[in-house]
Amino acid sequence: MAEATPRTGPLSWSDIPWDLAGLVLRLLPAHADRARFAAVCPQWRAAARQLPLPPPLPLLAFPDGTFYSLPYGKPFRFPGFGCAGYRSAACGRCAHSSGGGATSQILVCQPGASSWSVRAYDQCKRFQDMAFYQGKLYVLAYDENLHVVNVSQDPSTGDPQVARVRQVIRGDPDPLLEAWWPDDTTGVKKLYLVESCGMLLMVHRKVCCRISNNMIVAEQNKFEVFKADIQHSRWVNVKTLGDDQMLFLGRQCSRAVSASQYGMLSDQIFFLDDEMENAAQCFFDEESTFCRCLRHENR
Amino acid sequence: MASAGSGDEKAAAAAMITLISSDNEKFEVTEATATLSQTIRHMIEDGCTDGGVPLPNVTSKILARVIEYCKKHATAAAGEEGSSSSFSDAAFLEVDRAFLEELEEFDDAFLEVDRATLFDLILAANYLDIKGLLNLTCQKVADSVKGKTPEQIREMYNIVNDLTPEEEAEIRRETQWAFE
Repeated sequence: MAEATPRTGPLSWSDIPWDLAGLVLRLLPAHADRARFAAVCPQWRAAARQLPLPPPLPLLAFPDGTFYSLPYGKPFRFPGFGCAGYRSAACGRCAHSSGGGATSQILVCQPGASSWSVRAYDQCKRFQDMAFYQGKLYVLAYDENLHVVNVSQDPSTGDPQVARVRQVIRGDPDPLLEAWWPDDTTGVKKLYLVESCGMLLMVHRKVCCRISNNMIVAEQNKFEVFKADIQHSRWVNVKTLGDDQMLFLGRQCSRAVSASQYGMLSDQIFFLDDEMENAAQCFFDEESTFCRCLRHENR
Repeated sequence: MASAGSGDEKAAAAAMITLISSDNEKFEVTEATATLSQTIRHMIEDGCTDGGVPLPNVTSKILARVIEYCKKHATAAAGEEGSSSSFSDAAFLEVDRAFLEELEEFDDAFLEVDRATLFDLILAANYLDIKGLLNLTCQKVADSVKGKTPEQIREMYNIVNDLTPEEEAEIRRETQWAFE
């Protein structure tokens, strides 16, 4: 039972007890709203900074320094220092695939190291995405083959190095992919790798694009989700993300989060309208980069 | 609430409780209404409600509103329980939905109060431990600050900005992006 201390005078909203401020803050899933709450007065600031709260909804960050605080559609901008201080979900340990779209290699480095290391004579592959899953690094190639990457230490320098890349699932890409796009359009296939509820998921995204006024305009997106069955070396099509999951898709930083803690509907996919990324470079114009965040109902 | 059973249980369900506000006003409510408050439920269980329940943290104005909320929600809960046996499943679902809609409308209208009253309702819901009312009022506050700047929030809730210049600088450095 709460303490029964009689009120002496009217309390101000700034004196709201911490546990109650915490209840309100829990109902503010957007990063931006929590930041504004914390800037109202010292008492609210202390509550927002010191109470244990569920993590806010992910920020969607763009290379040009703008980002979005879900669920707001308005872009924000970090002054001066880009995204410094905000860590991408996939970069807790450092691994990176590099290459200009078509081919790529895996680079590794120790956190804080000044350079990346790459395996000599490493074959370039069309890697689409990578993710840590059960302590191992997995990479997904455009042909939907899944590889596990063994990282070892260089005996002389102690630096991490890619020791072996071994295929664990042989992909079975849809041979009729091209037929999906209507005649007067072009398309892109994008693959994402993300861990959700102990499963490693491949999200298969087909984007239909139309060229209009020298701009590539995305039209329809189609998603399919597959679960890695590593034991049987196959992808298993799944029809739902599970009871309480929603996905945020991004290059090498996809995340699955619990929907109910934000009061949001489960079984949703959020993704960036980034089909320009892999499109013909000559059309790329920074001013017209699409920065919309779309919501995809997966049902 | 107990289902129709022995005579004793029926008597208990109809028992009245007296609640006494901080300004000494007395309110007679049924036990079903009063026990939406976990705080009062525990007092009833401990048998210390004879001669009324003093609530020194709640004014008569706020207590009247809280009782209005509890009456409505207690009636709805009792109605749902009572109806389950006399309707087919489909009809029951229909009744259920109608109840929920009516409750939602009631809640919306209930929240049409000034900021000071809303604050007192939150404090009362917390003190009396009425989960539904606490969620409802906190959600109202959360919804009202969403998308607002700190200055707009201060204005709305009549809060004086007494952040130190150091704190202001820190906020600007860390989260200025959120205010533009």
